[in-house]
Amino acid sequence: MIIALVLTITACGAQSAAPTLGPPETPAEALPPPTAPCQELPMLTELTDEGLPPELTQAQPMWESVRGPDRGGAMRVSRLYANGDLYAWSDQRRVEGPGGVPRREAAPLRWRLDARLSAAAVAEVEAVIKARFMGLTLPAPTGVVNDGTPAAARACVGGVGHAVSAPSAITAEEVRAVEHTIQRGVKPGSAPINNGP
Amino acid sequence: MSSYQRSEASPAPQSSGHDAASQQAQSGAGVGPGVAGQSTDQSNALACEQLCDANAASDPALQAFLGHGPFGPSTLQAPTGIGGFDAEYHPGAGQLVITVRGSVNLMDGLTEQSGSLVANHTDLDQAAIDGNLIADPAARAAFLADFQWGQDTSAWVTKVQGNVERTWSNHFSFWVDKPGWECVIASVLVDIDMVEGMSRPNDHVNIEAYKCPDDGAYDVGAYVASGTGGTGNSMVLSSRDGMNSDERTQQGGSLLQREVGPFGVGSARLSNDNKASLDAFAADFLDANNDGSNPITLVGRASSDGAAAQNERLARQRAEAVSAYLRAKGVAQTRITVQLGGTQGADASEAWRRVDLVVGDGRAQDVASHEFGHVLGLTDHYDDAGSDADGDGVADRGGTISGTGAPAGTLAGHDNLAKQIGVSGGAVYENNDNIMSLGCNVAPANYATIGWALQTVTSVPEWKING
Repeated sequence: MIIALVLTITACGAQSAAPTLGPPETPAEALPPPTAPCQELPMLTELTDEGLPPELTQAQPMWESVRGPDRGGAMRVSRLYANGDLYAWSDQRRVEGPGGVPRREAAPLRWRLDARLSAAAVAEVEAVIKARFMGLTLPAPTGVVNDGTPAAARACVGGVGHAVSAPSAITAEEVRAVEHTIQRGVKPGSAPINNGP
Repeated sequence: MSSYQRSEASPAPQSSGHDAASQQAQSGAGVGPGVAGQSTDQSNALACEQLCDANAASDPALQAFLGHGPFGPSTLQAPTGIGGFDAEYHPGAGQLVITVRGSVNLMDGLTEQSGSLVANHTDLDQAAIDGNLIADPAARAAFLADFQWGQDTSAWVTKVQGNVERTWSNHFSFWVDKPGWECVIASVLVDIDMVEGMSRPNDHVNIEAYKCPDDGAYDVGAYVASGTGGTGNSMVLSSRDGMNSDERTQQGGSLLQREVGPFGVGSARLSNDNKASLDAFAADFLDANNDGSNPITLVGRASSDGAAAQNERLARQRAEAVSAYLRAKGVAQTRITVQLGGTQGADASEAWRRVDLVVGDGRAQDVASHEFGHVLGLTDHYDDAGSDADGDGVADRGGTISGTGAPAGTLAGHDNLAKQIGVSGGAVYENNDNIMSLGCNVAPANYATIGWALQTVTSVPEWKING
């Protein structure tokens, strides 16, 4: 279960809804800076550790991305740790379908191992984060988003953290570059298809 | 002979002509209640026209209005500040044409890059990871194929266009609530002009549609981001959003249908898990304004073990147990109907020891039509009772629906527009079978921005909705 969702999920309705980091009632001027030492930059989410191995429960993920809940499902969080473990927190698990093709199906909320990246792949992700994500600012949202779900991404590299957020899916090339590097780092058979209860 | 040239000065509009919506709209012109109640048949329409002729003879303003050429088209954005469309009213035909021009960019959900799969939308990031884990080339190719558009992409575009036009056209008509003008009417044709490819300068909305597996194992969440001034809107869809309501319902994709179970063998006693599910259901489906728009049908089920009559009785007892629990949670008895006959086709499996809960007509939403509702300027109607804004680990209001809704009873952004066209109840957030909530039915309040457009483009504020 969620202990606290630090990413503000703001109902859009007819008003502009720029999700912000920090507790929902935090005034804008009290928001943490987007770049700060990792320990001072709040995690995007504060979730239970269910499904995480003990050695990762206190670890700062190198990369964390959050997609807020919508009508179709719960919030989804993805974290890449320095040891190469890629964990996802969601209400879906991966199962092996007919013909060995993986599928996602409904399951209880918890952490599940999505993939294991090699040290070289992790180093490549770190390099892309440093080169493209650190210092990134997204344009201020304009207009209203309906049915969109707030999204955010946070990195922690070399002790320095940086975070961005948007009222709907983050399409910034810099963020996609990080995600694509993670995806390319996933090799066949590097994690079991069936990834937990 | 008329003192104005209706058919010549205001020729019947031509839609882009790609579906049945235009024909439906052409034959469905309404008649102001001051003339002939709610009837729409041709004789009443003729009577209406004759009355208008007579009234216009003594009312120069009416005569000028009826003799006017088409009003518009004007590019409008409703006062809700979202969406955008063109509106054009043809006095001769008594028809309002709402046109939404959109370009659609059909995007593969996954792409292969240097031997790896990458996601073209963030909602498919997990799909790319899952695909990259596949070692067998044939399985990997099969997986990837589900995320790639085939050759016949135009069929998808045409289908979405038709679905949306059928959803929004010709549900209600308008009349002018002004002495002597009651005969002036407007039927409504919503014309979705979608083309595949690059955006055009006068497009109202640019659409990206991502190919996803048909079975919903991976999906992209749809949304609309509004621009300003009626253009510059953007929409994201999944290829699954091309499914109409019936297709989606058959897939089990309706948010208006829940199940409670399994019950114990031969038992109608609710377990704690059952009660938790019903608590969430009750929280999700509050009746915001006692308007009866979210009735609940309970269908008790029983497995095939035992005598048929006994099983039917057990099924009813299970439904009644659910009914009693919901009533104890504050759900009005008048909203609940227990439906019999729920054991037909049963087998011996545990899955049949359940109760089905159906809200409204239970039909799944045609998502593209919902999103185009935003382009028409409507806000959401759904109650996000599953949101956890205070971050305490529990849905603030105990429900399961999240997103850009608001608590039940909150006035929707177009509430005042709905009231201005004569919808006394206005528009409030509530989980029901409304198209801007969780279902696919268009209600009078859903014509709020269309009515506003009619008032705006004709400069006649007295337009009211029939029905």
